[in-house]
Amino acid sequence: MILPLELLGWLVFVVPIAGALFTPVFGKIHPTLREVMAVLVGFITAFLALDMVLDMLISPTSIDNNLITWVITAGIEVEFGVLIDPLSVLLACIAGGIGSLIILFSVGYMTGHDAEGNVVKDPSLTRYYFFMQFFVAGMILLVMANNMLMTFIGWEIVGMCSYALIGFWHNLKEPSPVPEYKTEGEYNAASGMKAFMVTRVGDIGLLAGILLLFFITGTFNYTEMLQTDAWAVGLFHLLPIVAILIFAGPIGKSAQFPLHIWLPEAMAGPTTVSALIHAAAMVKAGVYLVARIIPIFLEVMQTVPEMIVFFQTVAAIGAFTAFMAATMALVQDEIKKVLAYSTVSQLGYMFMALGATGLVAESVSAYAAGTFHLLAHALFKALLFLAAGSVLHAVQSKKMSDMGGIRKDMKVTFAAFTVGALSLAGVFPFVGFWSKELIFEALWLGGQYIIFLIAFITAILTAFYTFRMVGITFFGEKSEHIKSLESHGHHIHEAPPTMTIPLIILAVLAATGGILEIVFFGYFSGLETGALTHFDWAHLAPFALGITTIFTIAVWLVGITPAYLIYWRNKYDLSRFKDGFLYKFLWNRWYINALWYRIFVDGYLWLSNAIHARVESALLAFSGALSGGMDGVSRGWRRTMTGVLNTNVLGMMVGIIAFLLILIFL
Amino acid sequence: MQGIIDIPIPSHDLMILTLLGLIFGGLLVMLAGKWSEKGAQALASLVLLGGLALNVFLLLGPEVWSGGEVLYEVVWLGSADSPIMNMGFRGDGLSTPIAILVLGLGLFSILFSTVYMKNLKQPGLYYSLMVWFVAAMVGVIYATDLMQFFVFYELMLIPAFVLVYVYGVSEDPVKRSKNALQFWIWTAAGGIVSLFAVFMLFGYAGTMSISTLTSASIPVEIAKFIGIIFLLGFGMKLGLVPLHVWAPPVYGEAPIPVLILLSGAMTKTAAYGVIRIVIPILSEGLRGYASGLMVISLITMFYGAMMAISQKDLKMMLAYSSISQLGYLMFGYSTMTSIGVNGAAFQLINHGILASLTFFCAGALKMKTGTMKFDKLGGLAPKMPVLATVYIIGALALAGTPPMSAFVGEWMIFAGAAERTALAGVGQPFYLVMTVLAVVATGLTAAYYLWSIRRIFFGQVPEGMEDARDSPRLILVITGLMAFVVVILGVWPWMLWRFIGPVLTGVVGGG
Repeated sequence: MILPLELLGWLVFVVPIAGALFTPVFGKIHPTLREVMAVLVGFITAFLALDMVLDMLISPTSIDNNLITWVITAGIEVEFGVLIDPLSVLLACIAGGIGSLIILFSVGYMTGHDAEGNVVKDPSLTRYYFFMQFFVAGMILLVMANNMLMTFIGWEIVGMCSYALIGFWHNLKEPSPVPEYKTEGEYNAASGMKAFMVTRVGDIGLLAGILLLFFITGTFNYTEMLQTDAWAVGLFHLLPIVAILIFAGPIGKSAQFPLHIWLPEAMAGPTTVSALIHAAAMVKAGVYLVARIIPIFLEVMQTVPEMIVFFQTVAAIGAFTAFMAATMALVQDEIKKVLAYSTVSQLGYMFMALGATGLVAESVSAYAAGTFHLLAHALFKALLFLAAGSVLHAVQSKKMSDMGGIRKDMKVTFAAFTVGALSLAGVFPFVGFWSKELIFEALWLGGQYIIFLIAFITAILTAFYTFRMVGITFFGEKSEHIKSLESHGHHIHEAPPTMTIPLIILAVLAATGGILEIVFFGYFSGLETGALTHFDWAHLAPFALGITTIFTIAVWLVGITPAYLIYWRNKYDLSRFKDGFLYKFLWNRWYINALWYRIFVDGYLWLSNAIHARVESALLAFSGALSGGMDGVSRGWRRTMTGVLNTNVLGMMVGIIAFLLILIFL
Repeated sequence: MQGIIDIPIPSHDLMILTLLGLIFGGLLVMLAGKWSEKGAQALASLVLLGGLALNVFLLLGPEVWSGGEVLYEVVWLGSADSPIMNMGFRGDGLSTPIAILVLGLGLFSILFSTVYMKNLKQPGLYYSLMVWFVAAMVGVIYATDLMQFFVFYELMLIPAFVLVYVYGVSEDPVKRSKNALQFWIWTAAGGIVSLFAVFMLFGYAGTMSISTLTSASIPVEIAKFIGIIFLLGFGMKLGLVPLHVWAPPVYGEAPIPVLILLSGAMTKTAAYGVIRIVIPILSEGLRGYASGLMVISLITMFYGAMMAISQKDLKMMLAYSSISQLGYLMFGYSTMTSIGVNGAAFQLINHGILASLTFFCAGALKMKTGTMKFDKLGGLAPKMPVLATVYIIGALALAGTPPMSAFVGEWMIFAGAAERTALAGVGQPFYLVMTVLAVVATGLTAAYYLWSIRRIFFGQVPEGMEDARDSPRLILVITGLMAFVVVILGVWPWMLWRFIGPVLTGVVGGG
């Protein structure tokens, strides 16, 4: 509105990149300047993204703005451009908007107090702000890109920043939370590396898929891909494999089974980083990419019916992951871990809905459900993470068993957290209710009853673990840990305004976000060009309630009531289950993590070392023996030809050269 | 024709001046070394800086800048109208950037040596050999004639051998000579094998001029035979598994600056030979070997990566990494597609920079901590922030992370394989599997590099290293500059594409 749309599409990621690059400069001048600038850059980015959203609301459009085309070799062009359409702008707004709130929150969060109550700044905050801004920039670059190669670049930048930020506290001296590492610093560094490596596994498929798709479609560009008449028809039967290879990327980035294992460890970073990874960036990248290519693949499915395998895979993996992660969340003790598993589970919902687009007749309802849940989840998960961060900051422990009974001491945080929890559990009228309702409806009306059943059971589990978390953290008796803190004169108190303001903003959004549904549908339905016109948006009725609403109400009753009775009222004691197989199975994450680790880390290292010890050593010894014979010759010469500088060998070489010269000239 | 700058002298003189300057400069360095080590250092640096500047002029000059070439040939053998052998200089979008790479690496390793090589015996010899080593490589790169190519190709082994033998890191001279000899035997053998192929080519085509041979029609059967001999020869020098056995001992033996020239520059001359000689001249014959070569390259990539992760020592890890990365180059060639070969050429320059960058970091680490063993290092990031940043940039780049340069080369190489898959059509899973496996190799690369970062820079500082600090400023400037180039090339790959692309157009015949 204020600036031209084409310019906004570029500025929205160029500004945070510039902000990141200047962070070290500002950091040299003054630490406060560095933080002010980071917050400012965050808000400028958010403003630019919001401006684009407003433009889209007034007149939805789809612009492919290409800046540079590089022709590498005949037929292979690499483009550098942006695609501005409602989907990319929405994601940019989530990344920029929530990102800016998180950066503001960081100013308070990354400041601690020492024993005398003096303010202590983390010494490596320049690194922190650099990567935070770069992270946001990478995410926005990913969503704004008009071609898959550029998306992949943003994708990897996000991965790299997550690696740096999860392992941010890499030299902490406290003992590690797990026995494999000596110190917490080593654990954090290992967690960062794990996140990078596991997502990398998915990226392998993604990169191979992008390149193969290029040679089928002849382009990297999303818009051009839709013109399917240019495709190499002879290769259409490769497409299902290519599509599944591409989906490997989202599996990794959005932490779906079997690559979900990195996300819980990603909690090792500062809570702000967790919030950024879970709500605004990174895990949303996978959902975005799938949402971006689905219209193309739906188009393809009309000629290649086998493409349905892709949609089945997406839906099945989403459903399985949603259920699996929800069961794991039931037994967690760290508040951030509960939230981490809940993210994995909620992302599963999005993939369920997106996968269903290819399976149901009303593909638009499934597509809208998936994308609206993305928005809803971004709002309430950012809220939950930041509120959890506020608790952690006050309580100085990650464990819920170290909390309890702090609702009176942290009223704002408590209220905000509850709003987030209600939303996550899908309670009316919070935003999560509306988005979950849409997913239920799309699955039910589309006749996908198996997936619907899994979604329904998972929703019950979600409601249960969410209120278990609220109960343990804020209600009941104060824990020993808090009592000992208070006896040392450290009273639990509310966070500073830089932390509570983002909480309040997000809480309001999570509480009233349901209204966005009508905005959201209107936002897409006005489109006349571009990939998203594949769907019949006008067909959608906002705020539709129906038979599935009964299921949603059942979820509240069956899910929340037991949690209330067990964790608030203490009517039942579940501690006897702690030795049972089921508890151990869930606590050990279905043993998937251990199994993967055993095969792909230990197994790979074992194999490498074995080849090193047997094959490589033998080869080197053989070669050494060969030249050993020659060495004997050289030593023989040394005895006869005295020379300081190993004249003999030089002589040998001169001989060879002479030989060559004779060959040449005679 | 428009260049960035106008040069007052003919462009080909720049190349002649470079080569002569290096050869005679080396002599002067030797003489200067008799009196003063400082003098030898300064002179050697100046000689290389001069060569570098001349080649930058060449690159920005009108011919190369606009995609043309500078060619200068004198008859070496035979009469003027039917020359048997020429001696020439070719400067184009491929040879000039590689010459700049080699000269730049030479300059940096000499500068690095001034702080790294302490208590040097016979400094004049050391620095002059370094200069001559670079001179021979530059001679290879400019070559217009096969015989000229191989004369310089063999000549460069002399300084390399002496540098390893005299200045090797082992105390025991027997061990040093053993490692150096092993290196020499293998690479010389590689050269001689290739030379045999050269004579066969001469026998069939009656010329040794590379450009004449490119347009000559060689029967496919014969091209196949010659091609395999060439590949064997260049494969030895490149260190393709299982011909890599010379590399680990000599990489372990050579001091860091020499190692940089060996791994960053010398192996690249073999890769350059493949792209300049083997592919253009014999592409028809080579098509039959594409799948076999692809498998060998893939084995090299995987084997190198697996050996790298099993090393206990940073220097050896980097050495195996270098072997693994050369597999990527060969993989790009073996796709026999335009994009794959372009990617390999891009990666050739990238890997030269990146391998050297990481080796410089290893050397700097050794200077400050006295060791390169992983189990003795740790937690150094807060102590050496600049070095840690630079190493991490290099490591992430080698692992194929955008926006660093290696990603650009790597995706192009993999795109070559993807194009093969598309050309093979449905029902030919071989190339599909090759494509995916090649990308898997980047994952394995990331594994060992990230693990090395963790073991060196994160966690707890071991006892005795509490006082470790960042390296001397000179090293930080060198490595920082290289890291900067890596990022710039990653963000703006057109800088290199615009030179390489036109030269390689049509090199694989259609493709």
